[in-house]
Amino acid sequence: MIQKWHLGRGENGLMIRKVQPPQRATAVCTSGLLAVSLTLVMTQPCDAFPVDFVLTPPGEAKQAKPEIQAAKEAPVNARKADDPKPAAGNKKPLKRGFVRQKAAIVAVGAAEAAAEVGVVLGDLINDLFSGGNRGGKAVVAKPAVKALKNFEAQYGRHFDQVVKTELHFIRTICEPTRQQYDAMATDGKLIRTKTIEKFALQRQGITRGIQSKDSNARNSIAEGLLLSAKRHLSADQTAIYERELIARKEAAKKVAILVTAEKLDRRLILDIPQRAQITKVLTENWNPSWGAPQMLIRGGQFLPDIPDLKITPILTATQKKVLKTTTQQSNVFWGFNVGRNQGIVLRDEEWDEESKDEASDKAEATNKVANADKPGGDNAVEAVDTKQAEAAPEGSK
Amino acid sequence: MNKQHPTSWRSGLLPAAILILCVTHFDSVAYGQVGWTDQQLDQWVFQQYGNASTARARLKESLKLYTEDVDQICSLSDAQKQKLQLAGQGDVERFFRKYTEVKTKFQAIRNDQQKVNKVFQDIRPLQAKLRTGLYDRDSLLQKCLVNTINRKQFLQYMKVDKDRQRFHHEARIGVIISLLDQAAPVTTEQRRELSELLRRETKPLEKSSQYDHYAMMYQAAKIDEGKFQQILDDIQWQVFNQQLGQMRGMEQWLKQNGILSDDDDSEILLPDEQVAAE
Repeated sequence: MIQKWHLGRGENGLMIRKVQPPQRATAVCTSGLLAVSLTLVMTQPCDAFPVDFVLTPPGEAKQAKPEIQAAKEAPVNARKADDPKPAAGNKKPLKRGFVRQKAAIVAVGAAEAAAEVGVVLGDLINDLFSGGNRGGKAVVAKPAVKALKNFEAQYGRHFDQVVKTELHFIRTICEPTRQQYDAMATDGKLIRTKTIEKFALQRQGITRGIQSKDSNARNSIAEGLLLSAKRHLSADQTAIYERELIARKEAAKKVAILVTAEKLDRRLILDIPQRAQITKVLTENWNPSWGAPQMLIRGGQFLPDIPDLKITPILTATQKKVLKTTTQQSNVFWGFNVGRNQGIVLRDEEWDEESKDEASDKAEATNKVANADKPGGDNAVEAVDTKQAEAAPEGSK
Repeated sequence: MNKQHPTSWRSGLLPAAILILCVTHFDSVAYGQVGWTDQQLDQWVFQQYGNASTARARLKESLKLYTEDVDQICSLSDAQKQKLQLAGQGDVERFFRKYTEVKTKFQAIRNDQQKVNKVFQDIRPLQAKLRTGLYDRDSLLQKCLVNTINRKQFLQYMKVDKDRQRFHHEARIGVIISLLDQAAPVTTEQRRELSELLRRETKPLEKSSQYDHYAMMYQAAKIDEGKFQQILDDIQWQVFNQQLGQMRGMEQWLKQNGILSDDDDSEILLPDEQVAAE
């Protein structure tokens, strides 16, 4: 039997407030026979965060639902991918009476422990507490079913647009066969679902004032599709896509830095050397939140949280005084970004009927080579599904 | 035993308070008496600055920054610096004189909602002025600058100013492409071609405000569609065209808010050039 415990107030579970790194936030819940202590190590400031977790008594861990099982397997899969050695931690026997007496779980670096006791914590927590640099990775998020349904009903079509345009981009640059494209489109549906889950969780956090630097849905979807490309496309095709993704990220970063420097110039009237020096400092201290569309569009209105201490030595006394009186948006999160393509009914991909047969032949040949190179190629969708759960937060780095 | 809850009397206060508020609100609405305060007017006019004194302090700081910048570029004499300072202060005073006129008008009609709405027509230009900055081409400071500095200084100043405009323009072009990239990704080559097209076909903005992006998109929307279609594929163009479409009907709004001016094409001329032009 799986027991779902909601701690604290509200349906989204336990709330821990006002803790600063490097403190440990500990919450204890006692209910009937059960006492659970949850300890999380903070690596970045946070006012509040929700915790939703599912607790499986050790004796019944084997009967866990598929999604719980997937959560348990995720860290193992991640380790396998990163490290050829088998994960010793996964084989540790569960302690007797662990659940009945007390469970102490250190979230950071404790994915194994979490999997053992069947505790499922969100990507949200991992992202928030490690700023995308998780010690214990692959702890799978599961937003509340109702919240997820509402989120999908409200924003699902925007995510569809992102997947559709990204697949179109892949088609344009990689020129996949119809069969390759269809396989990626199938993966795209799973990637979409995972991304929606991730952003639904993120949104639950946002309503509680939690910030997340990873606000761009396209990054998550593109990372997922890159994994899919590695499965279904040739190495050359994948390399083209990968190169373009890197170039896209670089271009976005460059623009965000340029815009931030421009905002400072408008306020401080910098001279040419100052502009160059400040651009350098901003590049060295880049923060992805500077690239949020609202920050770019509302250029003159909002100034992001910039490294003042590194910038002030470059400024004159008057400029320093003006900068001091300028408000910086350090605690503003603009919500998730699905691109400004709402309200457009995008055309479906058109395929030339004549070329379809040729494409099928070509695809068959390509797949034969791909399957020969990659064992387990038939399980591509499963693999992408699992990997996406891990890969999406990595994209936020 | 019927023991009354100690706080139950308080719970009755809330409905009573709401009732009083509703009655007084209805009363004021019914007679069109809203009773706006001076603080409210200040918030409307000064927006991000909040009140007149903060706005004045910020405008003076901006003036100091501006004159220091001109001094660094042109190596001004003391007399020239003084002239510029005076001219800039004149701009600040001119702004606050207009504000005082609006305030006097407002105070006379503050209880009449309909008339307050009319005062907004006077408030809007003040908001626009603060948004785009006092020291634009029509300012006393700019006029004083061209009459105070010599040709050599002027050319040096224009060179640096043009460079700054180009820097800002590049940022604005980057934003347009970045937002398109987020909606319908483009390739590195398309990004480069779009940058070149926008650089060629749009101009740096004369006035800067929080709505710069809209002003740039408005310029982009005026570019021949065929030029974009040569760079973008059907789906990319479908997305970008929708973004541009939102800007096509915004000319009036952009002008009303001081973001676009009617004489955007005019160049700053030195006094002797002005005479020659006339």
